[in-house]
Amino acid sequence: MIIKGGKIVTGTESYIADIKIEDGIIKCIGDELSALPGEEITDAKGLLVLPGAIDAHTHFDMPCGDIKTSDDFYYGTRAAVAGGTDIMVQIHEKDRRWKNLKCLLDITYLDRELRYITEDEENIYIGSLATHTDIENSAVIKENLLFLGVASSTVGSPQIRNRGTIGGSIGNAFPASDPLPALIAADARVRLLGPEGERELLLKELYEGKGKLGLKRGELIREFRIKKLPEGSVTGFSKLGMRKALAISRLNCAAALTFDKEGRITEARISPGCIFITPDRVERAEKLLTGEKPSEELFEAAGRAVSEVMIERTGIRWSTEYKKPAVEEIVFRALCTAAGMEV
Amino acid sequence: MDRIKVSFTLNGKPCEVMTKPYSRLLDMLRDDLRLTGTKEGCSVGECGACTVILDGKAVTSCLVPAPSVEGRNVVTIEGVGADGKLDPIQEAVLKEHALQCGFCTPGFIMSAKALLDENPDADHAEIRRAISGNLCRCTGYEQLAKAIYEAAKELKKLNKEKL
Repeated sequence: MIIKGGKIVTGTESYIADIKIEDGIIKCIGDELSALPGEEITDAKGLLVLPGAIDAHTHFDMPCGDIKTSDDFYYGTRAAVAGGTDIMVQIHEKDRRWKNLKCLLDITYLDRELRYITEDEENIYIGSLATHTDIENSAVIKENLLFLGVASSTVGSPQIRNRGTIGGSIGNAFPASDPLPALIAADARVRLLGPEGERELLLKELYEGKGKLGLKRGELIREFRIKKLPEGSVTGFSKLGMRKALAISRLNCAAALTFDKEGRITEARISPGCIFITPDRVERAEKLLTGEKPSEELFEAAGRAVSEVMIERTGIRWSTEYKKPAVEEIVFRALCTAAGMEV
Repeated sequence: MDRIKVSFTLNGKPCEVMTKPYSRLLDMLRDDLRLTGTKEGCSVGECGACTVILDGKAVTSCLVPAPSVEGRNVVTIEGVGADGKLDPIQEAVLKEHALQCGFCTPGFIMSAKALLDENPDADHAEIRRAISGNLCRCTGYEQLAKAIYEAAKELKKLNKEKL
């Protein structure tokens, strides 16, 4: 591939030239490079061409006026393992994120303190070391948050569900997480424990950007607290993956509906996964459903409302032509499943 | 780097091993203990060839840091079957011709064993689900699912005879 006529910006200079790329590597930079027969040419006239300046430079413990960078040498070279099903892969594949890693702290041994699923009259409490298998099999979850149990049962494979934990899944900030949409739909709160004490916030508020959590240094995810859905609530989860097992979600959606005695929807919660920068519910689609009786047309309209919001927030992309109808169908299916309609 | 000591129960016996601190359970089993029945396929938790049983649950040993099994109970394919005899699952795999190259077989057997230890009455759907994290690239899954179902029947018969 050749990128033609762009203004190349480096750390020291900027100039107009062509770039030749082979097998994902820049082979040559020069003027008027000629293309091989069939080689792809991208015209970059009038555009800037910059290297991906991602995490190019870090400082541990750097003083900056009255404050210091949040990672110091201790925390910047350590990571907690709560199962390890993601981090062990990332380390094996030499992910840049762990280039300074010196030590893994295996917190799986805190299972007596942090591996539980309990309830009281108002809330469900899930310890961060509850495994996906624990959640899938939990009677408390089946009774109150069926969509979370179903979502957990679709994570990876039996081996991964036996080892992977909900706290690890969230702590890894993986945008295509399967349990995440159900937690967001249910307005889950997260309890964090750190050197400065404990704090609690809406899980949604913990996300600061794509793959980025607002965890302070040394802070651990301790527990998820979820208020029970009102009487008359039903839930559904649907997922689009490449195959049945071991499929990372391309798209997913969790939905909860609350009905009154006449069968009208009094409250709707819709949380699509993998489509926003940070996870969220979609109020516009939820409002459409409130006060209505369930029908295919209604749920199709909700799907369209979600895809509208997706495009407003993230723009039209090369994938939109495929993603738009796919999102609409996944939302439709999650709602139908919740309402007990055939998909 | 200095090696560290990991003490755990391996195939029913106490085991102490010096391993590199960043070893995976898979490396410790194959390289330090020379138990090469556990196979390394994809190394990223997708193929299931390295499946072992950790505290009663099937896990992929490529995703478990070796020091994480300190004090825990690990069963590998070498620990399946007793007194020189094959386990009924292994017998059934042979009888049903459920392998060709055999590379994935130990992993399948460990997933099946974890299932039948926990749920001897597993039905066809539960069996398929239990081996959904194991990939086979030559024989396919029908014979394996059938073999595990037959093994479950045989195991129940043996258990009744014991009573």
